[in-house]
Amino acid sequence: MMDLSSTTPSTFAPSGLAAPRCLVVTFNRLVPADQGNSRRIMQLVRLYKNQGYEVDLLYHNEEGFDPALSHALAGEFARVNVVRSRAPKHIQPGHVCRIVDWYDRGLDAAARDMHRLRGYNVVHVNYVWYSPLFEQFGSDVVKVLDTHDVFGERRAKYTAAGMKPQWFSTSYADEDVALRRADAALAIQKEEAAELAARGHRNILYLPYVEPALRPFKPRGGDRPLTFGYLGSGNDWNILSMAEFLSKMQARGVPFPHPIVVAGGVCRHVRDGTGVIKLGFVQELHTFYDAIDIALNPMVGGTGLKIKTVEPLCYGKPVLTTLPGAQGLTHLWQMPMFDDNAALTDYLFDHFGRAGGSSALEELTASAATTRQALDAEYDGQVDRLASWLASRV
Amino acid sequence: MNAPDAAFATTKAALIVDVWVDLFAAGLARSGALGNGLPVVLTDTLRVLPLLESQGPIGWIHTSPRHYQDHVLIAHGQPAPRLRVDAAQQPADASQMLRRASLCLVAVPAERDSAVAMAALAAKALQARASLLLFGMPQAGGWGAFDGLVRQGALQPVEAGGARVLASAGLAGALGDAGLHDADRAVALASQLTRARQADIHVERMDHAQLKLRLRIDPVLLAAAGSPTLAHHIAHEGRALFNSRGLGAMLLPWGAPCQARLLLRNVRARIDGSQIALGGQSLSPLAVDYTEHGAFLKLALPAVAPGRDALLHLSLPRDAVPNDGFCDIGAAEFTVETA
Repeated sequence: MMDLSSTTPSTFAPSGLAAPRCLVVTFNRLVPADQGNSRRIMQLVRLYKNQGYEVDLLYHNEEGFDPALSHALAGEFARVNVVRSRAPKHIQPGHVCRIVDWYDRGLDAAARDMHRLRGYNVVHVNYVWYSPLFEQFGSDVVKVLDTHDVFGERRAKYTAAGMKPQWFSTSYADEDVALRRADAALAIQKEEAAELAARGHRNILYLPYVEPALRPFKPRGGDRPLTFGYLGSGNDWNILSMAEFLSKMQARGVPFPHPIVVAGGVCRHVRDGTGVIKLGFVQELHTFYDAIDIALNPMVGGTGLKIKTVEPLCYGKPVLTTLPGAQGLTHLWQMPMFDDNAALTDYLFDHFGRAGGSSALEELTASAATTRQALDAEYDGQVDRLASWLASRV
Repeated sequence: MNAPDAAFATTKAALIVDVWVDLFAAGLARSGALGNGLPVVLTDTLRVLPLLESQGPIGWIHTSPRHYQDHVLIAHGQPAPRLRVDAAQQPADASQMLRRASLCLVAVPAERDSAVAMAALAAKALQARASLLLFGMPQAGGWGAFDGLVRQGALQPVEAGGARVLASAGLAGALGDAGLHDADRAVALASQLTRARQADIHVERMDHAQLKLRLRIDPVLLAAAGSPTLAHHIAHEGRALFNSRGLGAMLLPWGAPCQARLLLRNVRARIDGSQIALGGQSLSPLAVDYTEHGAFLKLALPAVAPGRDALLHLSLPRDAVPNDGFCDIGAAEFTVETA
C-alpha cells in the first residue's frame, strides 16, 4: 500500500478562493441511494464535500434518468452531466470481460468538456472498467479509482460456489493495467487492499464502508417478541445463502421460537416456513431495522462490499454473521462470527432456543456498540489518510 | 445616404456586433488558436453565441442577476445547464474561470456599475494572459470604466462599422485590415462549420461587407426555463419545452434584428392568438402555417435593446396546450442581415 505517513492535512479552500473541484463518474442511480454501490459512492461524495471540495457528477446513464432524479442530483452536485450508456459490454467465453469492451468511449468528450469548463483537481471513477477515462486528464489532475471489489478472476468465486458467474470479471492483467492508471485505488476491504498490494500495486488505499449512526445501541423494549431479521436483494449469493441458512434451521427439527423477518428482493426466492415473515421491498431501511432486534447475515460467499454486515450497526442492531459475511471486518469484529451456517444455527438454538434470551441480547448489543466504535475509529483514521494524501496532491 | 439613413445604419451595425464577434471567435476556436483555454464571455444580459459554442464549452460570467436556466447539448446525453456564473454571488468561481480563460469577450454594458464590476473581472483575465476583446455600442455608458484596462492591456481599436471594438494586440493582428467585418472570413467559416456538421449556417454575401446569415439551430440550445421544474423536464426530455400552461421563453442568438421561423409542435388548436413579447415590446406573427409537423410561426424580431436579455416570450392559447404533455419548439431558424 502507498506510504501516506509523511503527508499532512491542509485546509483546502481558504476564504476568497474557489473550492477545489472533484468530478465523480458513475453509472449508478445515486438518489435514492438504495443499492450498496450507490451508498458507497455517496459516502465518497460526502467525504469530498467534508474536505471542502465542490463535487460535480458525470452520470453514465445505465439506471434511468427522469425529472425527479434530475432535481435530486441538482441538490447534491454542483453540476451534473448525463451521458447515455452505449458500452457494448461483451462477455467472452469463459466469462471473461475485457475493459476495452466495457468502457464507453462516449464518455471521453463529455469528460473533456466538463474539465475544460470547470477545471477539476480530482477525478474519481468507480469500478476498474471506467479507468480509461483517466486518459482524458493530464498529470495535474489527481485520479482516484474506487474499485468496489476485486474483479480479477472474480468468476472463480462463483464457480467455486457452484454458481454461474455474474456481471464483470476480468483477467488479472487487465485489472492491473486499470489500477496503474490511477494515482490512488481505493479498496473497500482490508483483505482486498492486501491482495492488490501483493500483486505489486503501490497505490492502494484501504477505505472501508461506514455510514453515520442513525440509531443508538439501547436495550430492547418489551412490546414485541424478540425478532431476528435479514435484508437482502435477490442476487444469487443472497438466495443461496438464505436457502442454506433456512434449511439448516429446519433440519434441527425443532421450531425456532423467535420470528425471522426477511426483507428485500430475496423474499421472492425464500420458501415459506414457520416463523419466517416475508416483508418484501421496504421503502425505508429504518422500518425494517426498527422491527428487528438482531440482524443475520448467513453469507456463504460473495465479493466486495458487505453492506448487510455493516448496515445494522447504523441502526443500533447487533449482527450475527458467518465468516464470509464479515470479510474485511474480522479484525474489528467483537461479536461472534461463525465458520458456516451450521455453526450459526447452533449458536442461535444454544442462546435463543428458548423464549426469552434477553441476557444474550444485552451482551450482543454491548459488543455491537464496541464493534461500531472500532469501525468508526478505523474509518476516521483511513479518511484522515486519504484526506492527507489528497492535500499533498491538490 | 442621407444623414438619418447613415445614423440608422450605424446604429444597426452596433446592434449586430454580437454576430460578428461570434463569427470571429468561432473562427479563432476552430483554428486551434485558443489551445486548451476556455473562451469566457463577460456580460450583463442573457445572450448566446451559437457559433463559438459549436466549437466547445464557453464560460459565461454575468454581472447582473439572471432568472432563467438555459441548456447546452451533451454528445449522446441529456442537455446540461449552460454554465453561467453570477459574479456577485460566486466571485471565487468567476475568478477561477478567468484564470483558465484564453479568450475573454467583454460585452461593454450601458450601466456604469455593471461596467466597473466587469472591468475588474476583465483585469483578472488580462493577468491570466487571456486575449481580450471589448465590444459594444459606441455610446454605451460603461466604456469609461474600461479606460484603465485599455491602457494596461494596450488594447487597440478595431474596425467594426458602427460598433466600438477594442482588442489585445494579438487579436487585432488576427483581425487584419478588414477588422471584425471580414465577409470573406465569415463565408469561409460558415462553409467549414456546415461541412463539419458543427453548425447549420448559410452565409450569403450581399455586397462589400454586408451578409445575410441563415442559422438553423437545435432549439434546446435556446430554450430558457423560468422554473427549476421546467428546466429538469427539458434536461430529461431533451426538447425545448413550454411549461404545462403553455408559457415558454427562448433566447435569441446574438440579439440582432432578425426573421425567425419556429416550429411549434404538439399544439392542439390554432395559435394565431398567442401572446409574444420581446423585452417590453408585444409582437404579432407575420404568418402561422399549420402543417403535419406542427405550426410554423414566422416572426420579424427587432433588435434586443441594450441592457435587455435576448429573451423571446411566448404564451400559447390555453386550448392549444395538451392536458397530457408539453408543447415544444421542434425547429428554429433565424435570418440576420448585417448592416
